[in-house]
Amino acid sequence: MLKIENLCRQFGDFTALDHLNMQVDKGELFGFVGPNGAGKTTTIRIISGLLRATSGEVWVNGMRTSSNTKKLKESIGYVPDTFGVYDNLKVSEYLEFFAAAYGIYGKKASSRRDEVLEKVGLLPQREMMVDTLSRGMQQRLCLARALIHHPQFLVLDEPGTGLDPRTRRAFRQTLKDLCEEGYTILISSHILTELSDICTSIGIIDMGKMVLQGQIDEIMLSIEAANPLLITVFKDVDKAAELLRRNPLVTRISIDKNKIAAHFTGSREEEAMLLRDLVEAQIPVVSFMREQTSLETLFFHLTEHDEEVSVFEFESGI
Amino acid sequence: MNLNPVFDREIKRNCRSMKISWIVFGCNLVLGMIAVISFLGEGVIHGYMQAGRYRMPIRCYMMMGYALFLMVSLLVPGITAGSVSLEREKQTLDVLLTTNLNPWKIITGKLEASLSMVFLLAVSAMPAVALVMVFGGVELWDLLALVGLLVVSGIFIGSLGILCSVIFKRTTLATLMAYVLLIFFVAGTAAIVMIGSHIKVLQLEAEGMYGGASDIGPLIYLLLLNPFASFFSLLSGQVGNGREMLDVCNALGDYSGNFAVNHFAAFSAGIQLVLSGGFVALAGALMNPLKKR
Repeated sequence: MLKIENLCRQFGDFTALDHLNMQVDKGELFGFVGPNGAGKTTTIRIISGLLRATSGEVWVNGMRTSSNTKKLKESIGYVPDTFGVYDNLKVSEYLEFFAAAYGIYGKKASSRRDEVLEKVGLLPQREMMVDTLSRGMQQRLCLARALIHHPQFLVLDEPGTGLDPRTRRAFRQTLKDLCEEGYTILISSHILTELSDICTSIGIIDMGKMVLQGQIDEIMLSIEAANPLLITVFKDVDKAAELLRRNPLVTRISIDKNKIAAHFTGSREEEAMLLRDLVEAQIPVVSFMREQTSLETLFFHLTEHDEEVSVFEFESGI
Repeated sequence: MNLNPVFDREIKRNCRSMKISWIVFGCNLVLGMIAVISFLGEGVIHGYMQAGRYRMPIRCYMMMGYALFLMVSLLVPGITAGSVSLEREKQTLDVLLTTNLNPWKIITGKLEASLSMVFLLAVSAMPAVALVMVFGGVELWDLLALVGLLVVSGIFIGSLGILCSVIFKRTTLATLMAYVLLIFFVAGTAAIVMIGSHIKVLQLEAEGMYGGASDIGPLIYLLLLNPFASFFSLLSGQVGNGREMLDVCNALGDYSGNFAVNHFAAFSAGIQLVLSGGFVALAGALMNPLKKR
């Protein structure tokens, strides 16, 4: 659905995007994560046709965004980070206006209006003034507005900003439902935990570059595979350590009382075989698991910068 | 035919706002006061319904015409200068630009909405202005020409306001600059013409020719950009001998055979419409987020 190749954007001397590459497949709910100033909004603005790239290419649904502006606009539903409202306009009129902006008029517009309002749970508020809606409702209305022209691809720029946890959860559920309906969704946030439980894939951007991208399950698996195996035994720690040392897949072990941390390079199946060996050797194993690492820990690790060194280097002219 | 969505939305919002009602009420109150003061004042001096005294309703018509021009000049920059910058400040512009509406359509929608204001003002003022028709001297076509020129002035001033709204990000600055530019077109162009004439006189005096008439040549065409000059030309043409504008121009050179000066109101209205088109095109180009800077 989305393919970005070597995307660069300069603002004077500042490089906001530095040869960014990313891909979002059809039907995915893609979490676009990065610290503040990493380049998320710049990327989203370029995808949505609100900013020109300095160089590089963006394809949406197989179309180059630089040459198919009109078709691109019909394919994308954009939800910005801030939701401005028009005063003196009803919810229904607000959506009808945007339907007309996409060339949808009359009965077609009103039926689509009701359809999207129902989708986001705002049908009872149809006759309310837009500026009297709560922030959560306004956010849902913004999502309804982005859906009014049947786009295939939704681009949401930090939509959870300023919402209370309950509203955020409800909003996330709506996104999950939309994804199940077949929409491809790209959602940006600087809070990874907000996305990790709904997204199918994530991309972590830092300083204008994609530092990690892939399916959440695969990433979790690869992170866990690099972590040591934590084995707790009831007794016979030395016997267990000796058995582990003899295993060619164990590269390093450390012992703390009855807990053993073993760096194991084997697969899941080989892990199971190792456990079986321990049990067959009549070692009373209490627990056997990989050390847990959350996506958040990984995010902090990937986006960590030695700022003090940078400042020193800058000031000393090194 | 479907309306421009931006125009349709603006009209819906304006209809619900008391602001427009107050503006129309205020403007008609001013026109009514002009009529009452003119008629009562004249009545006190010369007695009511004195036969043959046509000067009073004619003067009243002229005052109303200039008052309408003043109202348009004061209102339109204030409305249009915030049209795009307010969308930007309210953070609704980005969303608008991601739709199928191109920048020109957004701008023309905004301009149409401000013009509908001018049109509403002009039409609502018709009964007050038509009072003078009771006495004669002003015909229906004169009133329609006045409304027409008022709309042209609205387009010209409105497009100027929209251009400022696109260039300047903050509404206060955009509004200020719209008024500054309007003052330039009204007073600035006249001042340049006067300064040009004065320089010519000084040049003639340096050559030893005293008391001779100066000829500023094509510099007179600068007045075609002046919406007040267009109004002066139209109103004086309708209620005077029709040569007032030509007399003003002839004081700065010999323009007796000049087609543009002889048809000043129509020619300046045309020029101002063309210039308005230029302002709108420039505003649209500047608003396009994908343009190369």
